[in-house]
Amino acid sequence: MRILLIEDDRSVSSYVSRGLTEAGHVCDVLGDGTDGLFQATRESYDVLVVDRMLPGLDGLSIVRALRAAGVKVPVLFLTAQGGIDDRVEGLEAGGDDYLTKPFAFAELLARVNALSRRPPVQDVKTVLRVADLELDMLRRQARRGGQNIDLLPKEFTLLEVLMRNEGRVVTRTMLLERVWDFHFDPKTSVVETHISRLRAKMDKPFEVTLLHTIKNAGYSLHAPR
Amino acid sequence: MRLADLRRSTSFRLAIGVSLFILGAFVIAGGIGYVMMHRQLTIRQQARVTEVFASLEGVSLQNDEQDLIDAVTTRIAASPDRSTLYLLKDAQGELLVGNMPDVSLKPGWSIVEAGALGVQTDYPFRIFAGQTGDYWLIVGMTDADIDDFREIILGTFGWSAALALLAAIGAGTMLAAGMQRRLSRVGNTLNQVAHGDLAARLPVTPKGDDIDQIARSINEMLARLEAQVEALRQVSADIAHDLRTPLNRLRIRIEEAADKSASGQPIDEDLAAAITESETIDATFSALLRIAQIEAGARRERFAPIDLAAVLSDVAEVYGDVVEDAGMSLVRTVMDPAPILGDKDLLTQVFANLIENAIRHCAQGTIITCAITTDNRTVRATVADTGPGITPAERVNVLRRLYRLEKSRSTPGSGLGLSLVKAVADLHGAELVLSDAMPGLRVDLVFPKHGGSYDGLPSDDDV
Repeated sequence: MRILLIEDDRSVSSYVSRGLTEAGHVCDVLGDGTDGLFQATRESYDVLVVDRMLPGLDGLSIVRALRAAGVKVPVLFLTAQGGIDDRVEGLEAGGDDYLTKPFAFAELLARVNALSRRPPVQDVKTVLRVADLELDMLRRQARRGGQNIDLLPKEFTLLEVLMRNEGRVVTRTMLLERVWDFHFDPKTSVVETHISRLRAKMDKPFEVTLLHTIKNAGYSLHAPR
Repeated sequence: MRLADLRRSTSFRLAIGVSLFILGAFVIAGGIGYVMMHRQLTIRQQARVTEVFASLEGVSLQNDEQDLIDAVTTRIAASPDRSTLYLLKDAQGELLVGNMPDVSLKPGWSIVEAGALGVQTDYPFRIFAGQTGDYWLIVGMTDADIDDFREIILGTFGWSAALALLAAIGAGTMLAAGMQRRLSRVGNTLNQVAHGDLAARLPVTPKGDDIDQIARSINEMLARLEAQVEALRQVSADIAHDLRTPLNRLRIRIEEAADKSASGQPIDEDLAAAITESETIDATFSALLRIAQIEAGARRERFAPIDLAAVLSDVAEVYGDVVEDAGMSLVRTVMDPAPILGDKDLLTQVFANLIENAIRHCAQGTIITCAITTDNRTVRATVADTGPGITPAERVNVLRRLYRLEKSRSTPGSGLGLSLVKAVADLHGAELVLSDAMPGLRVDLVFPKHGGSYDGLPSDDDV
């Protein structure tokens, strides 16, 4: 995947670009907002990672300009501001996701991966499948090996998010945002508790484990490799 | 205060302007009074002349020349200072009697200078001449009275005008000086503020005039500014205090790791601990920033009509399993529909903080109760537990930033949870009440009720 990173902090950009390259991506780095906007319009990228505060032109203006020019490339904002309204501002300007510094590289990688393969239009699939696990979106029913699994509404949403990101790492923060709409860091094990309840229903009774914990990163749902 | 300052001052110019205006009005009114009085005096003088003339005419009609001459002679004798002049001629133009030269006059009224009449005075004479029977009669009176009167009036008027003008300028100058002194004090205070003394306040007199009102507004503004700067200062102090300690721990960890690495020992454990430490620092920092932003109040722009019961129910549902795993139970009692204007994200975090506090600080077997009750004007959200509670003396302290009860030092947490709750409550105009749940801690948040429907349409009967 081709990724453009616009970030003026050299140590962050070299660390991130090295990590992305190790993960098999191609990463271009620019340290100036104006150069970044020029590069983003000239070349075609799969994902843009843009810092909010940049010399030349700030991140919000870059994305507004890109969207005004009809460039639809997914954008992940990075920010050190971390304010409660910054996320909303970023999304309103046309960003697709948002990450506050300091961040773990695993979090960044998970979000970049999720962005890159996000379907361009609303997913019309009514049944999600991973191995023998099925999620019927219309009847709101989970099934595994032909056996119905009763899930609470939030457990259903949790499983849906994991299945839509099949094979990719979904971090704890991503789950908090997408399943519970929590934009803060709870001090208790909310995610762990719900994952464990979900596992007890859709994984434990079966022979093959589908939901895996990725240490220091998050969770990943996939068929045995 | 220098004279130049006074001359430039608005109030002094105003005083001078008003004085000149009053003087102008005085001159116009005085002028009209003078003209009218002068006319009245003239009419009276003429009446006196006419009266004398008529009385002599009455004598002349009796056709006794000697009687007429005697009458005129008597009158002449009664006016030795020649303030009244007479002249009587017969039909042939022969002078019969008179105390004035025989000047030729047309019949009717004339005004003749005293010099022409041989009288030593500055005042003119008002003279009536006419035929009475066969005789030519002249009666004249000096205008001295009128002119004296005029002089008195003009003198009085002039002096009083001059005095009034002096008084007006004097009073104006004093007022202007007083005003200028007050304004200078305002200016000096504002200068003090500009140089960083935010505690400076403008003097407010008991008069309550316009300057006092402005001073009061400025004082209120300064008080708010001071509070905000104080809040900022507090945040910096908090950051310095509560971030340097974990930063120090982080540094020690890294130094240890560096030592171990140099001697070939594994350092995985130290690095993992360092990451955890840096996450703690980040969490504290974000929470402080968040509270500061909430306290600044900008977030209020995003307020929308929401159902508080739905927010609390959602949070309680999220934490149900967590509470159960901790060996406690969470009970949702009353959940009235509760319309308020608010920020769903922040209120979600508030309820999450309250429930997490209960989970962290209470023992197994604790019952956590959530409820929403309403009356006509308010919506009350309650989160209570049956844990150890907080003593009344500590209840104020726990709302302070970074404050942690001694006994909870060992449990995780930044000491910012309740101060965030307090900040969000203040933002929503809600009252935060900590009380004894007997046993345990009871936290009440009392919001003003929102009269509108939940679909975001504003309504007329908003409370």
